[in-house]
Amino acid sequence: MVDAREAAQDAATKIMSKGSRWRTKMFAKEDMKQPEPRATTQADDDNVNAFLRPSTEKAQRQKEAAAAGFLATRPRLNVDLAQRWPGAQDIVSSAAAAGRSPGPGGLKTGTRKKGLSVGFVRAVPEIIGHGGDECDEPAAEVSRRKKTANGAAASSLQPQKQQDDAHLGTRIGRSPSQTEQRNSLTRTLTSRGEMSPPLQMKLEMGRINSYAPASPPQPLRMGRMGLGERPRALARAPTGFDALEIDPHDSNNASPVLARQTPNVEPTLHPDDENSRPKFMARTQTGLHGYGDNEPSRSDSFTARVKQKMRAEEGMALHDGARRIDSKRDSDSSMQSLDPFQVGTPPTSHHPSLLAGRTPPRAPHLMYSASLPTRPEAEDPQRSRVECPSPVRRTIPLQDHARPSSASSQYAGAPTSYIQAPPATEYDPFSTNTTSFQQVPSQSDRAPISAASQNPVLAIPPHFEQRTLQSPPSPAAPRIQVPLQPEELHLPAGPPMTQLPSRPRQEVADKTQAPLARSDTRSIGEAAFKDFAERITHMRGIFELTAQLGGRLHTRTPMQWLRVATWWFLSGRAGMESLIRSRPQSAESQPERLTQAHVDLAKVLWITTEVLPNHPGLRQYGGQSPDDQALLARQAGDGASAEVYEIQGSILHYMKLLVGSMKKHQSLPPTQALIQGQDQSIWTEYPQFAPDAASVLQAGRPRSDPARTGGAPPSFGLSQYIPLADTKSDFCYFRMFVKASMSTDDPNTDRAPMSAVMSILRPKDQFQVKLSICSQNDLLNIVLGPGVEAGPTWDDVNWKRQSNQISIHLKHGFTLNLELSEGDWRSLYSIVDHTNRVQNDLREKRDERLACQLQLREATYKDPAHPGAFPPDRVPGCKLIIFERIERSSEGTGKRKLHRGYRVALATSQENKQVSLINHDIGTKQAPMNFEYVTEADQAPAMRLYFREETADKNMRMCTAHLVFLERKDRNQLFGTLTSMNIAQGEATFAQVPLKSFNIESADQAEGFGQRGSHVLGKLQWQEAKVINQDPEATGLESAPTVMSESLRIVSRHSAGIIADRMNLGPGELLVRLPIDGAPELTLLRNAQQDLTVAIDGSRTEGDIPDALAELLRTLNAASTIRKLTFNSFKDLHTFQLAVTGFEVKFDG
Amino acid sequence: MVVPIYKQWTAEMIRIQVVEQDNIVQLLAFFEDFSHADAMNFQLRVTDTFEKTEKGGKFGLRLVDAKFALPVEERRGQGKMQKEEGRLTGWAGTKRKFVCLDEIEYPGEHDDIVIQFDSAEIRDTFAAALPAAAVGRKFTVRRKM
Repeated sequence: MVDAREAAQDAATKIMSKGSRWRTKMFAKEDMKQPEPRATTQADDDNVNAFLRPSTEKAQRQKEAAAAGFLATRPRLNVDLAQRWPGAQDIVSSAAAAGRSPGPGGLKTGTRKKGLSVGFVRAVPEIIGHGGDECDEPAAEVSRRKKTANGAAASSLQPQKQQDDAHLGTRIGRSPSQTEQRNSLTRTLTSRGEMSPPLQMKLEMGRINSYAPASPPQPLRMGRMGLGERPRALARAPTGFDALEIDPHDSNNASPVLARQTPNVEPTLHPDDENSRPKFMARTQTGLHGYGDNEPSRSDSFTARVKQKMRAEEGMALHDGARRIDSKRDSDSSMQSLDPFQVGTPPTSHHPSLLAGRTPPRAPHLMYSASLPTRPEAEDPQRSRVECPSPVRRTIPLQDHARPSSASSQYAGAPTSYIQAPPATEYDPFSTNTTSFQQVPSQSDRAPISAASQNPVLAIPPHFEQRTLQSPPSPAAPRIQVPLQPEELHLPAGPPMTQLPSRPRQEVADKTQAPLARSDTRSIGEAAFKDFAERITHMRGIFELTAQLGGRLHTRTPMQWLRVATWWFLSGRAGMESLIRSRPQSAESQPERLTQAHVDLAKVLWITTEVLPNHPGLRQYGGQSPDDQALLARQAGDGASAEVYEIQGSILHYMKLLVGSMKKHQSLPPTQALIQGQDQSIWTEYPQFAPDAASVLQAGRPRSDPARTGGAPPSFGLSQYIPLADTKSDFCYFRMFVKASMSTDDPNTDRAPMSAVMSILRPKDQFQVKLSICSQNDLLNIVLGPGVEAGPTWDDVNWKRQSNQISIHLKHGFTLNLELSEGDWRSLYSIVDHTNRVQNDLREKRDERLACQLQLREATYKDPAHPGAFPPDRVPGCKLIIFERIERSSEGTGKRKLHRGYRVALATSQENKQVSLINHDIGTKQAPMNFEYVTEADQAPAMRLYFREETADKNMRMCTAHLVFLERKDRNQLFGTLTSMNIAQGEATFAQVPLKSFNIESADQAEGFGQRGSHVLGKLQWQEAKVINQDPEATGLESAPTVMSESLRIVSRHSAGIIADRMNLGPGELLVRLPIDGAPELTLLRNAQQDLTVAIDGSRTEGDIPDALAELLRTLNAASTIRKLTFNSFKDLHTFQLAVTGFEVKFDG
Repeated sequence: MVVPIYKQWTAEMIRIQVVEQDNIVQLLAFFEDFSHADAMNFQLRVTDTFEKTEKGGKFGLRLVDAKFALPVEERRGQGKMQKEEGRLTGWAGTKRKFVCLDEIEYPGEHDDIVIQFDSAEIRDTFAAALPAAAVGRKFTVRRKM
């Protein structure tokens, strides 16, 4: 220990001496950001030498080599290093390195990557805040701080140093291996440079208690990395988000199994995640750098000041962490698993995303500043890092670093700062080294925060606000990586523990939490929602920043925000749905990946929970939830606000549902995943249109709902245009995001593409769908279809199958073109087609006549061939429409209509979301109408109809419709209609006589009409025959026409059904005969006939009768037949005869 | 029933109906095993002469010079071709057994038709159904004879 301290102190003093120089540089040059790397390198060399004295020559050599390599390689570095993902070579090499992994003491293992990543981590010290423009502020702050004497800092510094040393040692161990790769390894150099060999030595000596345990874990890591097949995993581990693998250390994990499993999965994780890992490593290094600074600080007032600040921040961070933990525990059962270590994690989670958003701007400046500060060793590496890695790269690591330190505070503060003072925002890991830098960033943080607080706009929800308050102090601490320390404290090992190990623990904790939460929480909704919110909290800042690109947050109306929220929600939901759908069912443990859908949902969450609640344009009604607010607002007569709250509430509601299912499908976003690469924009850009064109884009006004009192629909009823789900008046089937463009006939017109969302709706009183096309802003609002006034109609829609487009003709010759994906186009087309067909089917066609229309209580329908044709369950409120098919015959003798059966159309109610309609023909098919009278359990009358249909492959299938009627008479009416028993207007019954028997046989015996047909009828118990014909009085005739009468029919009833024989005969077709034996019997000769209706209750007859009847019907259709009706008496016969023939029998004998 | 053309055709076991619609009275006659026709339907007019006969203890009624039609096949004559034609026009085969009430075949034949009944009551009932009163010519005949 002593040795290490001494060494450190020596180094510090040396550094301090140079520190003055450095300081002067800093303050003198406001442009500090761009010190020349070369010059610094010179100074660095000196510093390095001094610092490394104790170290072995070897180390020095390595450093030099590294430095040289760095300088030489600079240019190359950019691309390679910048890559998020390690190249294949890197991986291999890293793996190899892992294989080599040296013992805990001498850590040679560090592969390039590791080294690289480490270097970045170092950068973490977010302090970098020196932007050219912004430099002033930070400088001022620094000076101020200086003034405040920091004597006390020294003592505090000590422990930190130790820790740092430990780290350094570990690092150093790796460094040698890294040195091997000089050229490309600028980073490695940096890391290595930081680590003073002496430190390593110390570590090995075991001076530091905690250190000893810590070291082994590192090697483990290395080993794991190597084993894990992916070197990346190591890099990632630092991030702390995903990497369970890294956990060798974490004793915390309740279930080691989980952790281990996850690592394997993780490699597949998002690129972002991977990136994050490397950052982590970098960060730890940064801590080391910081250490170096600390030493100098002792002697120097400046450093002391820094220390003080750091301490304070540490404390803040600790508090913060503690609070967080508490909150987390409350929210999540899983939290229980959390260890003290985890405390640190929550804060970190926020940062990464935020940082990521900002990252690009900061990197270069910060880096320079950091390098300037003094660090001998660090300088080279830093420069190299700065220069080598592409901005993106840097940004990422920076972010990571920043997070740990700032934690919660950063979340709120950082983003704001970014916006206000872009330069200041830059946090460099490197900056951490110099105290001055740290201060600067802190100032920047504070400033933004204060600004934010001043702004009415503050989007931060209450709990977040708290954090923001705390944040100012915390930012500094994070840079030093203080947050980590608190965690370490908890650990048995104690402070000595290296930062690296701690991080992994955090990560582990996070990981474990997630799985635990899954298993524990069976209730999906709230818990999942909270979990989700927790996981994406870090994105909020980014959203705030990006949102402010489009103007101040609160200059947008709440409605606009809602619209945007709706937009992203729909987008996110669509994304999630496809994600969940596409994901394999079996996979139990899926890697968590951040997708665009998650980001979109995060946007929604941000808007609804942060922007809106704090929106000045929205009056607060003190309710707890949006629903309450809506209620209160409504009561207060504030219709607009009420609507806003309502929509907000509904968005949240659906959000919870969605998140719940996400949880179920294990597709929650990874905690604190970086959102790089995802679309972070809040506002979609739209072209500007001339007023005339723009006005055209507002077409179609949903018919105002008379029932809707209260606030008249505002300028646009959001829910009318972009419903989240079914609304009061409409069903919403699906929506699709399309590219819209407006054009005129003039081909030269500008066709600026706009993204729009198209919702397919259907009014609940219509069968036809309507289309609602909206943009994210108010630009585009078009509704077409039924129930819309003054809008385009479906007639205005052109379908372009080839290009998957539809175009809508708008007013004034404008055309709106919508470009859909092929699948969307198809589904849109099919639903429109389907509904149109349904509607057409519900109308009588050219050869049809409405015969009967009934409202059913409920109905079920089963079609074995098309199970999806009708909802599987009982559908209430179905509509049954019977059309009579007719054929018009036009002969010389006049026109008449010939019955050709019935079409039964059973449609689901418009109130039913699924529009289904089935069509069946009765009477034209060569099958009897197979029916069954049923009585429901509740005595409701019901009827079952069996339809025999022929499938494509000639197989017969039986479709069943179970109809439940409101009233008994409805059933009778239906049955009467189908059997033509009903007496229509203008018709009368001419005879109703008991029937003894009824028989039908083929007229031509030679044609081999199966005798079965006749036998079938013989088996039936005939009851009566009824003759119905036109009522002569109604038609003004002397007597009813018996020829060419559309009404004349003989309805013969038997015990199990009815045969209705229509006698719509042409002249000379009525042929009768009487038996010569004087029996009361009438024989009719009929031509082949298609209008005979046979209804049979299959349940009340022998099983084969329906089939036999079908056979009979076929015969009837094909050949002329003889009907023989036998009566009980001549009187009946004569009555019947009169009715049928119109002739009165005056003599019979 | 006897259908005297130049030969006398006699059918036994016939079913007769007299039906009326709109003051048009038709006589339907259905035969069994009568080679010349299976059914007949011809109109009875008010101007027709109906004579009751009681000859040899049989009660009959003579339709004097009734106008009627015979099944096509028969009416067309003996030629094979014509029979074939009749079959084609449809009034043959099964259809021959049926009468069409609404359309009456053009009465291509005319001759006396004598219908004999089992009893006087039946004959009288039948006579009552005829559009014109049946005249009893018994006595005159007898006188002349």
